[in-house]
Amino acid sequence: MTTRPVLSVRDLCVALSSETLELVHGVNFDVFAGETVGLVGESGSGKSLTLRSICGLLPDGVIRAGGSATVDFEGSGEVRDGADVRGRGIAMVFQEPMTSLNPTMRIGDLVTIGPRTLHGLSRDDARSRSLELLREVGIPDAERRLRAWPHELSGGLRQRVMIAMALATDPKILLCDEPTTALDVSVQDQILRLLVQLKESRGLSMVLFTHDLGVVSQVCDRVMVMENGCIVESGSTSEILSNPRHDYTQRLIEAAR
Amino acid sequence: MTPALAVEKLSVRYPISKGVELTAVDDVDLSIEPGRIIGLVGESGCGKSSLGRAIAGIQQPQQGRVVIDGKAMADRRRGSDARLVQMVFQDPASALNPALTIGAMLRELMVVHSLVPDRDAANRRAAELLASVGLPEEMLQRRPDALSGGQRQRIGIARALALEPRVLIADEAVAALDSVVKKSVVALLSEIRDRMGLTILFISHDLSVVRRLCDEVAVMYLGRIVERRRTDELFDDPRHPYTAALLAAQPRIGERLDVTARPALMGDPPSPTEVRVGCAFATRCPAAVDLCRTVTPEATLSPDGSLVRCHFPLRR
Repeated sequence: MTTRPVLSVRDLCVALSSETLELVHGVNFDVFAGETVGLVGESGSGKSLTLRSICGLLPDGVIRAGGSATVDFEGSGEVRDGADVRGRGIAMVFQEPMTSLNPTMRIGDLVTIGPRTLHGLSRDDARSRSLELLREVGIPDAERRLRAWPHELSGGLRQRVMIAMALATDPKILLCDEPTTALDVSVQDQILRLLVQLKESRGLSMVLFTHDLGVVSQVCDRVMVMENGCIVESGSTSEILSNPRHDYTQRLIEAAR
Repeated sequence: MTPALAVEKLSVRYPISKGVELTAVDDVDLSIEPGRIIGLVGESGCGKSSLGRAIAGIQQPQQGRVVIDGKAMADRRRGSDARLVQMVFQDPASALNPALTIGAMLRELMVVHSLVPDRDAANRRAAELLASVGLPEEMLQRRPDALSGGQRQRIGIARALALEPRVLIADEAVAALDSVVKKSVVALLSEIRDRMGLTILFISHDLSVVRRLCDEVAVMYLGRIVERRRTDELFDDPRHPYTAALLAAQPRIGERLDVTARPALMGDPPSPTEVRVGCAFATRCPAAVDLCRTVTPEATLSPDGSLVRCHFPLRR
């Protein structure tokens, strides 16, 4: 049992580059192997900026003003910044499977775009790898789906494809940005089950960035609550949900009931 | 009492390709008493938006009719009929004209529908409308991009109210909002109903919001209403297996996901382009028997007005 965190965020600050306006103020947290952690907050709380800063995907005009976010590079024990290792060791699952999948690429090509670009995987190898991944994320009739376009799939299947893409580079940690917010309760249930199963079978760590405390309650071991760019409360899921100390947490729980 | 809204044998079909049709709304009957808020729930693709749009008159039904306050609506609603049903859409950012100030947008609406004699009256009324959705008068000079999501949705509601409708259709009106803002917009809808006696059809896939806001709930599956009950009864004691499964799939605070347990709902609904035999839910229903796969269940009405469409409704 290693005690070194898989992801370590230290004094992370995010700011507008044009003005001296700080949006995320010195966020600190660690994620250890096999853990599922929830980062909860509403839009504007800074949770998406935190996520994007960790993996170097900040929008134009927004910069990381200070701090670090280090991950175990390809599981080698070498520590590198999340923004430099994107796709190797750390991967993301986005909210909107409709707009996050390139509509001009077939599913089979999309899924392995990561290893093809990063590791120069050959076409044939990529195809069999795609097939394997689609089966792993529970896509029925995977062979035929390799040639399908994103628009031909339902929302649930698209989200499964997105998860397969994230897994293609064998990450140790998955950052999920509102992974089920756009989905129906039934599909949400299926996707959450899939994430929990993958976490166990692959020994993944996960961070869920979400505003849905119901989802957090179902799958997260620990929760951090973010408001106005700061983590205002953190602790084990059961502790936070049954005995919230910060009034913002109380309001979130109240609103979710 | 004459229902504020009655939908009779309504069907909406979309042509997919030559000879293939998608049936989004299948022979639906639904009536709502004045001043009630009815939730319409179901998975995406079940036809709830198509039904809402047909009621609002922005989607032409292939069959059936919509009756407002006892008056049947023509295919093309003209004059005051065009105002009777108004919609509040999911994404207020794309539903509001970005080029117009809020004041100009509201004035234009009232002038086109001849609701105000002159510009002064239009301005006064616009300010009143903003007050009624809890926004300050200064917002009249702003454009939609200067507003937050919650403020935009309040404007979306003010826009609908400007036409003095009888029935409001809220189609996923709070789905894009954060939990705390969502709660305040839900409270606003409830307050508007109390103050104006408006009848509201609240389309949503968010069961916790529906439970908080609605007097009654209609559950839709593949184009049909499979259960309709008083809200507390439906949540405490669902009769249709689909309703029970939807409720069970809802993540609740304080509960942990048990991946070893059977999921409440597996797979997807059948394709709405296929001709169906039997109950549409039979392919996913844990209690389905041969009868369910061969004979389509009729809707059973109870004396209290509740409805269930199942051969073997659940009993507590």
